[in-house]
Amino acid sequence: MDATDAAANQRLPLIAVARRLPQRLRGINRLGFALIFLIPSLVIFGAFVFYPLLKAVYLGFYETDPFGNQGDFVALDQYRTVLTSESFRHSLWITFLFALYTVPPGILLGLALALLANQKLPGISIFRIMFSSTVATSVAVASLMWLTLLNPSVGLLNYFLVEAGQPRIDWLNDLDWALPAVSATTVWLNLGLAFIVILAGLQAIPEELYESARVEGASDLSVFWHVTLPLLSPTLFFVSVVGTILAFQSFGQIHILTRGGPLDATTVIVYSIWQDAFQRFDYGVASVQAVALFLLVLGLTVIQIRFLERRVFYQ
Amino acid sequence: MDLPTARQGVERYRRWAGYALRYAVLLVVAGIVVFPIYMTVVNSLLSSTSIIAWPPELFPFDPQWDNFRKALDEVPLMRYMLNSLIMAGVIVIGQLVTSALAAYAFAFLRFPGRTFLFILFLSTLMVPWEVSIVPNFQTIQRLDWLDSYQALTVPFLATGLGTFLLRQHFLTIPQELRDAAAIDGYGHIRFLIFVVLPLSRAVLAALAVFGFLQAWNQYLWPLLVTNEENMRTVQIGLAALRGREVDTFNITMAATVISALPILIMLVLFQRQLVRGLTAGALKG
Amino acid sequence: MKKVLISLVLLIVAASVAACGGEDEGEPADGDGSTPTARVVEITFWHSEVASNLDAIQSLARRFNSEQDGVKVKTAFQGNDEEAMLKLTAFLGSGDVPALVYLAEVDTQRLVDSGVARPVQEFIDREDYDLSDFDEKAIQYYTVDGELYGMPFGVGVPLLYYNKLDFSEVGLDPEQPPKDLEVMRVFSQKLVKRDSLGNILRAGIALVLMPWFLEVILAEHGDFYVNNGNGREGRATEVVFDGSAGQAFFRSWHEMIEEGLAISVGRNPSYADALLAMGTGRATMSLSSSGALRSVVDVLERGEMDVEPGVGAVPGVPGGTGLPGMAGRSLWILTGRPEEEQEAAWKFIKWLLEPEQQAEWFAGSGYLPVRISAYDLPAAQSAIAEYPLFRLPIDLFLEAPSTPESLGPLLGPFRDVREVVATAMEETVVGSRDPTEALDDAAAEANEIIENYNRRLGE
Repeated sequence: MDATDAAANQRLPLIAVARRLPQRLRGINRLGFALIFLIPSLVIFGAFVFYPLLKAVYLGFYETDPFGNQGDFVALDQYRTVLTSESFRHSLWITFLFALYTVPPGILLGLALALLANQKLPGISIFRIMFSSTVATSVAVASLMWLTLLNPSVGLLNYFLVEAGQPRIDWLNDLDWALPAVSATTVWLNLGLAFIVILAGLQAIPEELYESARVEGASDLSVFWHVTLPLLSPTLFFVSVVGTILAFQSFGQIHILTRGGPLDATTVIVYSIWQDAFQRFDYGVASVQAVALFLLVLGLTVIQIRFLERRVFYQ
Repeated sequence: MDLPTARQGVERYRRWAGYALRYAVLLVVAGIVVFPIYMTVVNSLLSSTSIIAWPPELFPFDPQWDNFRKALDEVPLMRYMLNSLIMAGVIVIGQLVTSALAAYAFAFLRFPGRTFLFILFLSTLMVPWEVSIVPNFQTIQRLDWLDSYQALTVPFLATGLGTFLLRQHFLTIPQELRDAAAIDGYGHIRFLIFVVLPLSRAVLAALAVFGFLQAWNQYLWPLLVTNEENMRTVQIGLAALRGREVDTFNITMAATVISALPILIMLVLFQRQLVRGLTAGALKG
Repeated sequence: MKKVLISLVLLIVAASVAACGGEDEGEPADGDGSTPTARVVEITFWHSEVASNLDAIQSLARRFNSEQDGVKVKTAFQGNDEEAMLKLTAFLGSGDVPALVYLAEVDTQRLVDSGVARPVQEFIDREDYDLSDFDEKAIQYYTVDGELYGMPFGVGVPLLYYNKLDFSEVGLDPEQPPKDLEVMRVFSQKLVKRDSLGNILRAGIALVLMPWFLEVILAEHGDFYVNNGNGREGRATEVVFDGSAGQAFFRSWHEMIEEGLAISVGRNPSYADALLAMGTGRATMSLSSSGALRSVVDVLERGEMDVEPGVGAVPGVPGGTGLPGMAGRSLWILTGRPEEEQEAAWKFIKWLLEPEQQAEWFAGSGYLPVRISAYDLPAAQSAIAEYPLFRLPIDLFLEAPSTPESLGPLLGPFRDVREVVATAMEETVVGSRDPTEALDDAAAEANEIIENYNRRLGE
């Protein structure tokens, strides 16, 4: 290759860069201005979210002594053994199932409730309060409530079964029922929040749009498909992204209802992290799983943003 | 006054039937949703023997109001609720401020790295607390904040979820509004405070409700960073009342009902916001 | 929105003012208490007691504080055993620990290994503190390498609970609970009731899949759980619970489920499921600990249920001692606090272990006193008179031998190993897995855990 050619080739991008420089500077300026708005959040996140996350990444490279102190450096060994283990794969699968059982049903039920409560009827606000009332319960309280309802001896669900002449089901100790039972509890627990958010979204849709659609003779169903859904899509997008993230973090209900059992049928990754961190005090192993979970959910979210948000309709 | 024609009668009948059907559906659905909460209230009023009766008791025919007194006697629940209220209130206000600012930037400002920063904000939701709780505890300890309201609130003053929620709403506010405001000489801050926020009352209310609930329901973190009786929060009190044996379940439920009251009150308060906050005309500006 | 926000702010301000007021109220007491001569040493006491036991422990601490001037004990509830241990571990990192903690037996060896505990033996030796009135095995239970670490305080024994009415109904002697697993099976065959489809209406026994019961069975049979004399003669390096008694136990539970004589209530996270199954007639017998006795009597006998509760020793493998050993919590002094606080903690421990307080603690909580003379005191006697069923667990406790077999294991990774055993129980009871395979696999996995722990410990 000719030396002058090479020099010319090098110069060209330089000129391009120089031309773009004011633009860049403006970009940095704009970033600086935006940061004024972002700094308060970033400071908190940096200290209480990203610092622990980086610490977890770091701890993944070290063994832990039985009292939770940092032990020997093991490079990537710990990452390798934990991530390829049978139990990690199992809890990954359970986590996936749990998300599947909780996120889509949660959104559909929340949407159904919000549509019901968006009618203009006297006294509708009482129903709105009732529909959103599950938010008044904490994870611990909701789990206790369901523990009673699902109890094989004195629970109401089994009372109905017995009255119907069916054998009792020990929901939380049955290999096939435990995960669905925990999922149902979770759907109920999160229903109030999904309802509130979706209802707020519905309320934001201008009434004229409905009216003009009806004037044009659109049926209820077609109004729903062509007016409600598109205008609600930012909200539904939000609910599905957040719902997925939260499903992957669900812990309390599993801890109280099943403790991951029976036979690990409800051991999601965060439960496994809890066991490693606070029963075995093996922070190294817990950190590896946490980092893996973080990257997994991050990947999922990026995919959702890439593919779902394209279909989202912002006014 | 003339007699209604047959057609009018049918019409009226239809309308009434339609109403009746709608209310019936609403009632059934509400009944199912509220049932576990109803049972909690029932259980909180049963005696320790009737709470495990078979068939289960569906109504407290002999309400044991004493359960509530016992719950309040055993732990200083009122004091704990006060702490929870302060904690949750500070967190809510902090979160509203930080996330409104951040969401504004993500929705109305164009700057390099916007998507990256947005995903960074979202990623804060993905760090399992199981691994962050110990390092955060150590941070609080190093700051010498144990047994203080700072320890209970500062780590939660920003929220990725709230930022996301508000951004979603801000994005539905037409760009023309911003342009019009700019012509009127509004800067970003004034536009945010006087135009965007009033338009977002419903979502802000939802965020406030959610932030409050999360804070109110915190258990492990307050347990970790407080030792003093006068800094402890309501969920710790509930845990202390939660007996291991069958005979204290009604007391636990009574305490649960007490602890949920502020949330229910808040729900009723904010419900009006959620209902009226965004009416049809509000968006047109 | 504005109105709501404003009212919220006002509420917070009002609440803060009230909160500060509350703190002030607490202060004068300190000022009054400090005389120029004797300085008050304040210590923090972490515990995990809830509900009525919380009352009992708090009133003991209050009484101690009012009866003397030198020490002020502040109780702090720290969640359940797991959460308390979590918190303790978090605090250990900084050395800022409380002077006194109250911990379950499962953590004994790990806490000794961590090196943060001050054995109460040091105080005992220094003062020639007299242990002759103490139950020997309760002392030995928490003794590691010849030194008593935690002072036994909240102990109990495992118990079989059964419904005497059911026994009478099928012609069994209501005063004769099954003495071993074989008899339990024969009884269950008589007791079981099925509907026309073969569904169990009433089982012989409701089994709780708590790993503790394997320890109980081995202690009762006089077998070791881990090697090196149950870890009491030297550090345990492997489990031996998969011997003949352990196998017979697993097989028996497995077969009772397979034959439809027993039901499982799983791991029983709420502790009450087995007793509820008994209370509602789903099973005649169930397993729990002596700590549940008072609530069983209060709810099942004095309630409106068709139950007349009886108690027996946990049925073990045939040929056992009939004495299933003990378990429970103990009081630990930690080295992280200044010497004077450790001394203060010891002073409080001594006071708690006086017969009078032991009797009061028994009456208030249902935990068994470890001071023998406490049983003769009026408070204990009236508790026994109110709950005559207590006689049996007291006998079981006092008569159990103080051998390493009966005392059960000392094991660093005890929690993890229990988790493995619980999973094996689930496999064979819920998952119909061959009991021998399940137990053998559990032993292998437990050995790995122990090896890993000992390696991480650097031994």
